[in-house]
Amino acid sequence: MIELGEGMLVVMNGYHGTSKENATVILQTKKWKITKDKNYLGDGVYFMEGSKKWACIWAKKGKHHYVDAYVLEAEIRVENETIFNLAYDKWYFLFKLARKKLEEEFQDFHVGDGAAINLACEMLEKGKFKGVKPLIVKVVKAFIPFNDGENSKHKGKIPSQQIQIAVREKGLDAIKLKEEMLPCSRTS
Amino acid sequence: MLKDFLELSIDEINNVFNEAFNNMSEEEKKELYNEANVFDYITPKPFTSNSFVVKSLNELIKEKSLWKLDEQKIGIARKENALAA
Repeated sequence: MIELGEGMLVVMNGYHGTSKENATVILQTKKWKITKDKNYLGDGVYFMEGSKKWACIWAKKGKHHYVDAYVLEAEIRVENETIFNLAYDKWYFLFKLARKKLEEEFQDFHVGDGAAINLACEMLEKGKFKGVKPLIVKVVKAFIPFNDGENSKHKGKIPSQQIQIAVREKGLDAIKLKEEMLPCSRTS
Repeated sequence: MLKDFLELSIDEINNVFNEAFNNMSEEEKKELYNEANVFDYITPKPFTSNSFVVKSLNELIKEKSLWKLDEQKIGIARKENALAA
């Protein structure tokens, strides 16, 4: 991390899985499409931190099932205090409060986690919390564990896991895209 | 003196969150949910056979004031509920 006066600049290495065609367009235009994924981190451009493998798995086996999966690599630079980090108690607690509120409000509906994250971010950004400085959340980050299954040879306690990042700041200036697109091999 | 979010304790987070909603009118809530794109992230639960008798989707929408649910989404929801019923 780099010291920046009051805050700390965090640099994350992100991998964005997509199709060859989409990757080419993004590289040429430097424009990203905001994803709204119901079960994950809310509005944003999604990356897997530190893992080309997970980005390829998402591109090939996620909702789009790209047969020509490619990955774009980027550095994501934001101040530490602008990261809605779901591994931290306070951020996770805020997420749970927002989720509970929405579930009470819309009892006959499935409420995606993204709704709760969006709501919490909006409340922070609009200064809805009395006595608290408004805060623009630039990145939402979560560690997501995966059960390897009963047949896994891995017998340790630490499951396979991925780190998802959704960049949600307007303008997406935090994303420093590298000028190369990486193909996903059959095994990656 | 305003605090940073991360300076708050868990209890304080709980208090400011609940206070924010207690002081919000229904109109303000609607506006907040719209601006947070909440309606892009919620889907009607399929009705069980019992609840299907009790509530129609239209009643549900009216009850919950789903002001932003457009015709296309209502159509999808109706189809899902018909399949589940």
